[in-house]
Amino acid sequence: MFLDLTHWISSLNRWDVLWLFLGLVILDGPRYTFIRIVFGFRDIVGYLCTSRPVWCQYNDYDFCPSVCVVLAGHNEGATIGRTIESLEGTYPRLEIIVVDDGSTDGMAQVADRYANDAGVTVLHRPNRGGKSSALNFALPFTTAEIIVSVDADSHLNDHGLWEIVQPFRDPSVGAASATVHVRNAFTSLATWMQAYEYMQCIFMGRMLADRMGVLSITSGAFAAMRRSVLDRVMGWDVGPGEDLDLTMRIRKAGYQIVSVPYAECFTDAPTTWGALFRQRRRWEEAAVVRFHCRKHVDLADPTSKRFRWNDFVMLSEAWLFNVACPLVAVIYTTVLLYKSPSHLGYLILAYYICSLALELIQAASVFLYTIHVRRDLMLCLVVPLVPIYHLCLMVARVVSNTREFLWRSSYEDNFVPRHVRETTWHW
Amino acid sequence: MKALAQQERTQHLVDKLQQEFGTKTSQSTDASNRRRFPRHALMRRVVALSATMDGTLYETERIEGQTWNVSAGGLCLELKGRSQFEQGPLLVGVAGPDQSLQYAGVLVRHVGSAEGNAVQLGVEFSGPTHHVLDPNNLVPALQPDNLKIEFNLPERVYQSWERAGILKKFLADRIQVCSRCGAIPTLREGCPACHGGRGACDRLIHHFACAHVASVADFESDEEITCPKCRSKQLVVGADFEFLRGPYNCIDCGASNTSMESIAHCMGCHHRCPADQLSQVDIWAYHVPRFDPLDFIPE
Repeated sequence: MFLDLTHWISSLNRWDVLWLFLGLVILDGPRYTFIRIVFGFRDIVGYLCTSRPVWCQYNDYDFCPSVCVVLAGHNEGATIGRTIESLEGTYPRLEIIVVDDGSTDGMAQVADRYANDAGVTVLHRPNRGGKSSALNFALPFTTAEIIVSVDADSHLNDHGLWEIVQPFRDPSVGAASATVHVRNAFTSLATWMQAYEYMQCIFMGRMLADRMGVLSITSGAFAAMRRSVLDRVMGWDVGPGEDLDLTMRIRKAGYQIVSVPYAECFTDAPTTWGALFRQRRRWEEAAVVRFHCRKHVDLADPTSKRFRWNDFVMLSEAWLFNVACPLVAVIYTTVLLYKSPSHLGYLILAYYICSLALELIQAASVFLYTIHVRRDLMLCLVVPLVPIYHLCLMVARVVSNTREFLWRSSYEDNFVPRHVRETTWHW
Repeated sequence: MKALAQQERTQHLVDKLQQEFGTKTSQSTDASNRRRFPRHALMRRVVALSATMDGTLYETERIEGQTWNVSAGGLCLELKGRSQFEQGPLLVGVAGPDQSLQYAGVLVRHVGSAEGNAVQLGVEFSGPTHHVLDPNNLVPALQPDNLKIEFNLPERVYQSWERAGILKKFLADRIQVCSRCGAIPTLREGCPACHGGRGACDRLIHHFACAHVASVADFESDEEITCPKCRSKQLVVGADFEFLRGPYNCIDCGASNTSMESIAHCMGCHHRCPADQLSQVDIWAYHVPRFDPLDFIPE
């Protein structure tokens, strides 16, 4: 079969090869691989020259601002206790505010058990108002310099809070993005694939995006914001996608967003393919079209006083690779099916082999930076399935973008209560 | 000052007891008591201890004897080893059926001679020792003059009774008192910073459209509710926003706190402190096997 494939590739003319390459480009692989090769090479050379890793954990935790961790949740009674316990005692100037956003599962009672602990405050809202307003609700109750949002169903690594506050010694830093790992990585194939994806996109992707100055998101699961900056941008806007929206507004206000790869958060991922598809559809609807193409499109306006080239690059990348490429991929596939149905098998096989090779390079690059070598080696066992996984996610992305472009479907998401989504601004 | 007050109180108590019970007896009073309470024969071993007029026992001076008869108002007993006896307060321990002593506080009303080296006494159930055995005096109570939980009688009275092995101590309660003066405090929700009780919870507004949450003052503009974040005007409660309970603001010091704290205010010295800084003290009370004459009087 491989002999036949070799014969088929050797029979291709240069236009056919160009088509093949175009297909790979729109499948998203090469750009990441290229960036990783560049930065990986640079870091290896830097390491050989200075014997010091270019990107590593903070060695000295000598910056210790006051921190308030906000745990806002709705019906998180099963997990909130473990989350609070994972935070207590991990940082000296820490206060924890738990916001019970109209829960009906007894989260309030579970949280109240910790209300007498030093530094823990529990706030109750009888009516659900959505995650954004729950996070904003905590702000009048604290005077901490750094506000950290942590998902109520997550836990942090031991030095997570110490790590994430260190960049704030630079007054130009407005927000810091942590790494999110999948806690139930080996529960099912779906969670295993997601764990691999989180490792590549969040751990590696955000670290490199930060180094290029185009980081545009801090995960709601674990992110830190400077209080004065939050006051300036007046907190979170209505979600879904409130974390992306806030990050872009902080960028717009002129502050830097940095990645802190070794501040880690462990959270549960959907265990079934259906739940994963629904989650991604919601994320995509709320992210690219709503914010990159509509609400914050002014970041790319060269006539604006606040125009910055890295903002333009950030938006262009989102438009190209998150909106245009998935759409082109659909057209491309249609054309291919029409043009060469007899060689479709060879073509798919060729794409698969190329994508796999690119993915292997990306996977190898992780081990230049990771501190969880054994875990990440286990995660990399699913690399052969990754090209197929990306293809499935691309389908979800096309569906989401189409729905959002045509019907603004993110405003129908029950992530936000009805009375809020009916009154909020539709961008 | 404290010792002087204690001395005055003791003297007052002694005067009161002397007025109430007197030390003079007369044959006519004794005769009237005899008429009022019929006597019943009771032959039991007794132990008697003399006491001062404030109830303090001479715990080393134990006199053995026996009872002759009992009435609802008193006893007739014979004490050995004495040819004379002064009238005054006495504590009498009467042996019960199991030979354990049951105590009665009595006042000697009649002293007579008996055969051999002994005296015969006519005593009634009254006097300072009877007063000590009152259940209300065996448990500490709130004293209105200093707002402390204390016994009604001087401490030395109880100590002498305890040394004599008559009163048995037991833990009655465990309470919080002022760490400075030991008086009873009152509790209130107050400011953790200045411990003041005057304050109010801030009122917040949650604007649905932009998720902004801030105090009502931030939303008030030209006599209408305007969102400071998205500039929406003429907002309507329920449709556009809801009220939320905000942090607690202290009127005295201006501090803004997440919640109020339980603050103690001492009623004695007016010292204020967080409730968890109060001193915890054990309240000890006394128990005594009390002699009840009705147990020995047939119906």
